[in-house]
Amino acid sequence: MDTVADYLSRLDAALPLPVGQRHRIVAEVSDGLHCAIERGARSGMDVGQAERAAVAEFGDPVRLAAQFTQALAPGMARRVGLALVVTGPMVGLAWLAGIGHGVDWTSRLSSVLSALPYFPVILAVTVPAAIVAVLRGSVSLRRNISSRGATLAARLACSGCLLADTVLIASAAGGLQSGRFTASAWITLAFGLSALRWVGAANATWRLARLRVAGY
Amino acid sequence: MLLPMRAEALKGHLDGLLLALLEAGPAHGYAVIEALRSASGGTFDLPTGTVYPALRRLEEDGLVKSAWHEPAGERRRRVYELTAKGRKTLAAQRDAWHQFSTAVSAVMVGDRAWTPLPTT
Repeated sequence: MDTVADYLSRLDAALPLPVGQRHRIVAEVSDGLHCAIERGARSGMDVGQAERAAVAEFGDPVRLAAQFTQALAPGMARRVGLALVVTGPMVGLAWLAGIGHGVDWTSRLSSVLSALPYFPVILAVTVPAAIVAVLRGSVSLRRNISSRGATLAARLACSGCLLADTVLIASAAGGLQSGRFTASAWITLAFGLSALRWVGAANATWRLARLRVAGY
Repeated sequence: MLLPMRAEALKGHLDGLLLALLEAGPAHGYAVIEALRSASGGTFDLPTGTVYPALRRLEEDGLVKSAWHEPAGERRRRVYELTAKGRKTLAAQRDAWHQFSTAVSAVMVGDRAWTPLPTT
């Protein structure tokens, strides 16, 4: 394997990021390395020397991967938090309309809470964690400081979201089977939204877990 | 002869420097690195690995935007450009730097052009 390909392969392996991000970083660094090689060639180096000089200029690929991860982790945490904050009310309203009983929203909310009395505890952890992920992510980006608080909050918010959606889907499925709920467009919509969000949260949990393993 | 400045010495100023370089127009990562080198007369010879992640962080914060650019017969390149938010941030960083550098000059070399900001 040539010097540049080996460098890019080590960089790719050291990036604990989603595949799209990794491809973009590797493509961009590849272009940068070729610019550095051309610069070396213009100054009189042969190809081998220019390649070695370019790789030396970019530094240790593991360290470069760490710098990219440090730069991107706060944004990832912020996006996850924002997605949960934005989708929360939408999914919640669909479930209230689907499985709540009563003529107004207050009585629908009361009926859902009496069926799922522990649900507010899940929300009391998940919602603040999502908000903290957004705020800490923004601060980490702006000040270029550690994103550990933001990624930790995002992981917590994702876990809470997975639990909340699992509870809602399972209790609605049980209610439909026992005849406590009747099938309706609202329940179908709520199922669909929760399932979509569950998949998104599971994906985000996997991405954030990779960051955690890498120390972020 | 001036020695190249260490990356740590530039920490806190790198964002402003990168935004200032992109103010002249869109540029790809390595062009930004070379512009930083040449505009500073070689004083800011940062490790290349510092600049690419910094550009990505600025992009995440909405201060720059980027897109792949592939001119006919040339390599595909990611080109960065300043956003409106980036221009505002650059103007604020310039003001802060001017105040800071004038104050440091006043103390270190006795430049009396500086007057402290009112404290009220």
